Amino acid sequence: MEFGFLLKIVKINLRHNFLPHLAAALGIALLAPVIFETSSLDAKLAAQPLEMFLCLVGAILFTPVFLPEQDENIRDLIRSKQTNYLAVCALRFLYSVFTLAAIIACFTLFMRSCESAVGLQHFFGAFASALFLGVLGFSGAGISGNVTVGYMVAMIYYIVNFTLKEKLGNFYLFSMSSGNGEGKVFLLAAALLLVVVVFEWKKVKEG
Amino acid sequence: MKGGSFFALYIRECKKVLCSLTFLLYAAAVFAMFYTQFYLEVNGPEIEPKPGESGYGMVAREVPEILMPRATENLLWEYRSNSYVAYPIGFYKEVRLKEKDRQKMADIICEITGMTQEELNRFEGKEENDLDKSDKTSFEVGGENGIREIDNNSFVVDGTGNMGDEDPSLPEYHISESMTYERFRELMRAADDLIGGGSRYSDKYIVTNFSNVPKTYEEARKEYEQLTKEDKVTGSYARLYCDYIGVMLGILPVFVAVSLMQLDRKARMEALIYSRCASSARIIFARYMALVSVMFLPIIITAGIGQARVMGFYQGMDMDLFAFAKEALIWMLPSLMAVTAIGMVITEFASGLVAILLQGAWWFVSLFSGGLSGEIGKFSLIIRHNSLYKRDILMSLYGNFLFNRVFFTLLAVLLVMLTAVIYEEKRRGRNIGIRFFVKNRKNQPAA
Repeated sequence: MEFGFLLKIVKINLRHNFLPHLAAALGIALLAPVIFETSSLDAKLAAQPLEMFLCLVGAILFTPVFLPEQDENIRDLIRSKQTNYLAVCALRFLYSVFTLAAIIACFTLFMRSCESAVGLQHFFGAFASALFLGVLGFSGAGISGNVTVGYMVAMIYYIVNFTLKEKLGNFYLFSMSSGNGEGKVFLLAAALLLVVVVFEWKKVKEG
Repeated sequence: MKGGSFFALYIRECKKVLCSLTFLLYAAAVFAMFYTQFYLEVNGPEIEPKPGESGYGMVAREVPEILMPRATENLLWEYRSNSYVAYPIGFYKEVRLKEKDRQKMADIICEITGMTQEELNRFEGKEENDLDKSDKTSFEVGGENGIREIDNNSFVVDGTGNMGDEDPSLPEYHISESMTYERFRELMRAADDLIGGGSRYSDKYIVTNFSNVPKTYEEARKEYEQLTKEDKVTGSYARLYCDYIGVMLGILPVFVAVSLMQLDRKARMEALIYSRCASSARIIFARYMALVSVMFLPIIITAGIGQARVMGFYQGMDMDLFAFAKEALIWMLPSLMAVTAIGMVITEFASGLVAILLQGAWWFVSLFSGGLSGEIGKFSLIIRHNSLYKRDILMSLYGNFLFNRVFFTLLAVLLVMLTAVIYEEKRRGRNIGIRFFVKNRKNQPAA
């Protein structure tokens, strides 16, 4: 596919599919300083808003990647097009990754400007947690063909993190808030693996 | 009967719910929550306290002689660093007062200690260097991850159990002799207002923060007798069970409801159903009853398992055989009804994603704005009582509890009626509602 054509697809998707979800994600990011303290925090406390609240941005952005085609009429139309449907989904996924990174980076910089002890590790840790939670939602929606299932999977995992805590091992989303910050590489790797699995699943299913 | 009998419609909807992936996920989550939080944690009978033991734990008891100096000392520390810890909605927040409010706080301290403003200012200057060395997170009250946790009347002091740096010590000060306890509490409320609520000085937290005392044998004995006699053992455990499962019921039913409401649209059956002669009220109520009754199944099953497990630990004792079933009906069912109804009405009026977002926000605020026990608001969606004990506290709030449950039951019925009205309007081809996250559907079919 040509670059210009890809750009056109991205523009159309951003305008028609992405804006409400972006608004909800920004809403969460703007609410975070209202709910959490963001000034003069040590590294452990500073991780709380990033891990416990901003990770929801991941669920908001990635779960609806397959949403437009959930409508049977649109799905039929998409199938009749020459453009590869999964390539369009991959583009949606990619711009969601950039948006997530941008939101978390902005929030981390904001906390830094408020004299909280945050750094690159906080950005990376929060990004990995949010991406993993988002990809869980993305996988649930992609495999079941039902976006509601995707949100539900993400929500259940979010609650599980409050109940099982460190028992989740490397898959604990709030590890920085509890002090050690380990397992973020595992979260990132697991997220990428899940993305590949979901796209392969879709490829087989869509024929 | 015109449009098929209500019962046939209900059975059809039950089958749809039972076979839905969202219900299976819901059931799995309820079972997992029950197993990890209740079944594994309840692994033996409570030990009967015996006289002469080294300790019986701590209890929050309002003792003015203990509370007043501790709260005053903490307020002085926070005033000095102009850094007040608060948990307005459950998460740590550090509040810094503006000069005008700081002056008001100084007035409060002066009234409590009898110091003059000048003395307080000198006191500030004297300790300035020491305070610079002090960690602002000293004496942070919070559970793991810094979340406030109140359990067994004791506070967990920050995530690592660290009480913080206790140096430097404060210069000598006294509580004014003319200060009465009533006036002291009024001033604490005023201090809490200045901080913005949710501080350690609020009515909600002041006793548990500053008046923790060792439990006596008599108190431990009384608690144990309440568990075994007044609650007949299973009553206490049933409340603990409801506490855990209630967290799930505050959010998960909305997914099942949204999924079922969207099923017709997804399967392109809207037009067909709109043209059927069954009344909207009948369709919606059958669907609602199916959702509630099927989603209640995992609750009643886990409640039964819980009851059996607890009874196994207390063989030979007089127990309430229906405690879990009763609590499930009174405590759990209204939550399930309300969240399901909210999911249905918002999906019908706006969209499923809006329903999920709004319910998610309500769940989040409701869960984190309340304590683990001892707080039952008339309109709190999630009621928590994370303890086998503290029966007195619960009983003192039982009026609120009953009001709350009746309110949510009635709200649920009203919302389902509203859903039926919206559904009927749509069948008539009227473009009612707002469509978020989905394209506006024009030319809706009219029956």
